[in-house]
Amino acid sequence: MVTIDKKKISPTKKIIDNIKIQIIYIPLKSKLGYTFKPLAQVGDYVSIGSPLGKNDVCDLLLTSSVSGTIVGFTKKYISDASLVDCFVIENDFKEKYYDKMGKKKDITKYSKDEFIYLLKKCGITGMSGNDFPTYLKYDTKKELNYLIVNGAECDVYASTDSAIMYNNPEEILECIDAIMEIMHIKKTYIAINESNTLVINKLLRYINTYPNIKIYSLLDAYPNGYERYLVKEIFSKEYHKTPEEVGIITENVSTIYAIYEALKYHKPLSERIITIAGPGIKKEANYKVKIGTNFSEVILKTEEYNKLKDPVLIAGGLLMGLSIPSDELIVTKDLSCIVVTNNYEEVSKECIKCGKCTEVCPSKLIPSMIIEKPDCAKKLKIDRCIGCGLCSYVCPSKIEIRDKIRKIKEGSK
Amino acid sequence: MKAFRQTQICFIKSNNSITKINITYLKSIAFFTIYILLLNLILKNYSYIANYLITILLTTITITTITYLINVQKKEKSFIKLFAEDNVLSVSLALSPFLVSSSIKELLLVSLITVISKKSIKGINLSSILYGILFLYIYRYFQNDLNTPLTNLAQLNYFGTYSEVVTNNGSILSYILGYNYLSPLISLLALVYLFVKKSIKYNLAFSYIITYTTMMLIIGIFNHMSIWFVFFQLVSGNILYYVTYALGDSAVTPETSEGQILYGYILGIISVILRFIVPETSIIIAIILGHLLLTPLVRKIMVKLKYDYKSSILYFGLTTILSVITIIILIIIK
Repeated sequence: MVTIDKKKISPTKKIIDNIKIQIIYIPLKSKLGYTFKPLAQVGDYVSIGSPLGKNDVCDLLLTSSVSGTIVGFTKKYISDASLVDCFVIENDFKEKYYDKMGKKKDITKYSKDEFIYLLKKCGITGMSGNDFPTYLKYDTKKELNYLIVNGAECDVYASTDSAIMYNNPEEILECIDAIMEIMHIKKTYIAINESNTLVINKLLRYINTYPNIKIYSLLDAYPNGYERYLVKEIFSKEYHKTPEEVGIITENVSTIYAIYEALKYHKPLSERIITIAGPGIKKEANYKVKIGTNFSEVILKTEEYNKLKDPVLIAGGLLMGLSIPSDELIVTKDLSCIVVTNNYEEVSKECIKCGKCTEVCPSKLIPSMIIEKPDCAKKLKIDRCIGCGLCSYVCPSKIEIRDKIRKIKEGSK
Repeated sequence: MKAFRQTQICFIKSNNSITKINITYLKSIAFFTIYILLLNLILKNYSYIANYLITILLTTITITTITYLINVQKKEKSFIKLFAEDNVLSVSLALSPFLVSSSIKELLLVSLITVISKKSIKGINLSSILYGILFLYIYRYFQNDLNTPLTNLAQLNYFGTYSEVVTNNGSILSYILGYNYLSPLISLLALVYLFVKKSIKYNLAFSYIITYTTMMLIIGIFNHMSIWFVFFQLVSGNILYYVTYALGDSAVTPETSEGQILYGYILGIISVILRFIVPETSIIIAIILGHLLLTPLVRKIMVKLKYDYKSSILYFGLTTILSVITIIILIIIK
């Protein structure tokens, strides 16, 4: 764990939600590698939630985030810096829903099967950098005792969860309560950075109504939002693959809000809040945009970029994010932050084997050894790497360890 | 649409750098130099001060020149590199106390060997000075110029009493303050400083000190020696000085904390054995052996130590057995 000066957008700052985008792009491949078989074609009229594609492996639907007409296919960048095929949909701004069943008064009155069906139908996936289908977490026979709501947002600039918790505390707590009721979960901990007092105070105003929901203030260090760290920190437990093994489920705040909208309004996951920040952005803020929004159009609708000497565009925060060669970047469900900043490239020197990378690695890897002996990467448990970038951050030789490990990891697949 | 440069790097970096680590070492070694000068000023040892200052100057010039010439051979002509990366100032200051009464020939040879070993092992700390100092000891031994013998195999069972071993050179306090050796007290402060500045592999240093002290304590107790024995073994022979500046050189020691602890543990045992065979140079030889032989060995088992709990117990268990056998042998010898 390392303390890093994290620049954040204040949760009190207004979320910009009035950007209307004419053309929406829905990628046929997700960041995790799920590919979708198209179910619609050019010329079809689609509504919000209309199925556009299907992944048979995990029974996951690709849905439209706007109502309008499919006008074609094109290639655009997604958050893993790859160019992927996308549906091009012309938005008619009528906001028609494919299947909206009205408002449900008491969202705790769902059965587990109904809950899982809704998560699947509304296309809820992880919204904090990992678009893992959410229903798969709950579709388990194992007994779930605890829920951790991750509001840590450890990367630099990422501020969406704070904004959601600050602006919608009642909705977040109501949703957590419903999930606990439906899944028979005993207790929930909302993990928040101890420095995030605005959000903690806001939640404290409402939390008394929910005796089984507690706030857990985390040491403000990086990467305190890492799932394994949270489970270890709060419950002193370790697990092999997923926290469900030890009866714990973790969920990100943005995802909780998406679940709330699904339970309350049966609303498909069609929009999200995203932080757009960095020295290259004139209007740093949290933006509420449609899934499939082209980032370049957001910039056109707001203000131009600030002039930088050697600007780079990063999908994600400064530590975990990836550099994208163009601003034709599509906002996907997992993308929580876009940063435009100065290029920060330094000449790297030979590894001095100081062991700093090993010392800070949250996955308990030996990064210097992995890059020294890529052939033994599997034996050195490279799969455990979460790409947090701490190794690159602390390296006194300024070696881009994270990138080297990522390349070895890709090569070994 | 706007194009951006695509570069997959971590876009935020800590201010940690090799230059910063080198500066930390330079500060601590400079403090050492100031201490030596002040101590001799208080003792009114003016001729020593003059000698010491001249030695620092000559050593710095020699080491800088040799390093620069080697760099030029490698087509690296930067003067900044000499100080920022090659750490010539720290190396010179660390070596100077050993060269105060040396001839020019000795100074040149020691500097040459130090620079060559520094360039060979690519260490960033000051472990390269060990090769120079070891050479100096051997050279003087063959010149019959060494006060104490390089080995005392014949006297292996001789532990000495307080008056025999310590009083001849003053008292334990004079050892601690560094009248005759480089001050262990200042070495300890430097170790703490480097630990606070996160510039040293502290697991290794502490594991070594704990092993060495504990073994000496047990040996001392069983041989009916009082606590002075442990103090003497710890403060004489510049042990803490070498532990601080040479033991944990990054380039030649294991990276993981488990590896470092095992490394320090084994090296502590080796040092205890060597202490009774080659008292003057025991730690120098132990560290060099460690860097050359032990490091490759520990690096090979480092992964098992980190991920395999049973292997970890096995290796630490074997090392403990080795330490117990060593203690028993050393007690029996007496």
